[in-house]
Amino acid sequence: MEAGDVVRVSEDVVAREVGGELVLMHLDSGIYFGLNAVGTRVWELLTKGEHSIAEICAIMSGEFDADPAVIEADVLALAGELADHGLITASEGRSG
Amino acid sequence: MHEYRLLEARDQALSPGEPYDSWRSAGSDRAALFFRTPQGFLVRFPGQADFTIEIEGREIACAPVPSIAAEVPESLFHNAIIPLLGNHDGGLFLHGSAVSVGARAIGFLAPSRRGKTTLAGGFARQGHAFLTEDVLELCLKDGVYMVQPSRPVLRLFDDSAAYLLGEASKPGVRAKREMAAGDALPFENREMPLSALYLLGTGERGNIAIEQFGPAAALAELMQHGFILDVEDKPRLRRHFDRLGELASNVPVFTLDFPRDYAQLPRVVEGIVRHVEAADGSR
Repeated sequence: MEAGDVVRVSEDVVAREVGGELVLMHLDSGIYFGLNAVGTRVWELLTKGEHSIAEICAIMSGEFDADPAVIEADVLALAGELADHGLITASEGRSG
Repeated sequence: MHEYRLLEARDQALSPGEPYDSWRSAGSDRAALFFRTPQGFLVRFPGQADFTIEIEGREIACAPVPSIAAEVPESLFHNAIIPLLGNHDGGLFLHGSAVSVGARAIGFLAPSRRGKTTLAGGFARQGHAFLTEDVLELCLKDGVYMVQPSRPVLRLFDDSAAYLLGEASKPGVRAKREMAAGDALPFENREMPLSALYLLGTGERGNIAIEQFGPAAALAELMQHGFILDVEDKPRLRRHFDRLGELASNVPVFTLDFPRDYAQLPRVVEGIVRHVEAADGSR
């Protein structure tokens, strides 16, 4: 996963906020994924359209008081994990 | 409602093709196979019966295998086919038993052979009437989940039945039998508000252990206990996920483990009752 990669949510994912957490489930594999508040915000951005990782990081940096490098590392790690479980797909896109 | 017909017995020599889904029992045998037909579905319980479901005509036909006991098709119809179709039609059916504690009910969710029926019987034996032994149907009424009473029957392995009836257990016998409710095992035939759900552990703990799930973790767990007729019907799966998300948001869900020792069952029941009463009192 690279910062310039464009990511999109799989059509086979359902998501629901429960008790302050977002629960994702892949309808084919049955895999579940729980997201905290920050992860939930990343997911919201993912579902609002095709964004690159870099674009998501830029939005997150404007909303969270954290080092942009840390935000990028965290978003990349989360996106990698989501992609590994088939919850999102990534394609090489515009450069960050 | 669906029309139900019992057909002549026939063997299961003919394969309807490749199943699109299956249930596995604790021993990893295939407990049920799901096939598509032009009119709907065929659910095969190997060695027991075939159920043909016509979705549009809302007809169900059961062909038992020759020499199967008469109560088996009836039990499969109530404990598998009805909940599968109920969930398919937008209801909420989970694999579990339920008992009354005071004016409310609690549910025990578990796969087969985890002890949920024996536990319900243990509660009944101590005066807490059971509402259902294998299928937990919930209806949301005015914001409250109501447990629906099912058949007034407990289906138990011989050793569990012998314990609940105060009989001597017959060594080596591992067959299930139906026990009708009665004075010794009271049944509650009115719907009751659901107080909490307990997911049964494997019984490896030597004591009673109860821990609460967070709602998100509870949702993931509850998804394991649904009756899904068509795992490839994604719109219905989404709606099922939403219904369980609503349930997990509104009803506390706990893990419950306890030693599977008949001698300790009264103590286990008392411990769970105390837990329910404390949890209800704190809300």
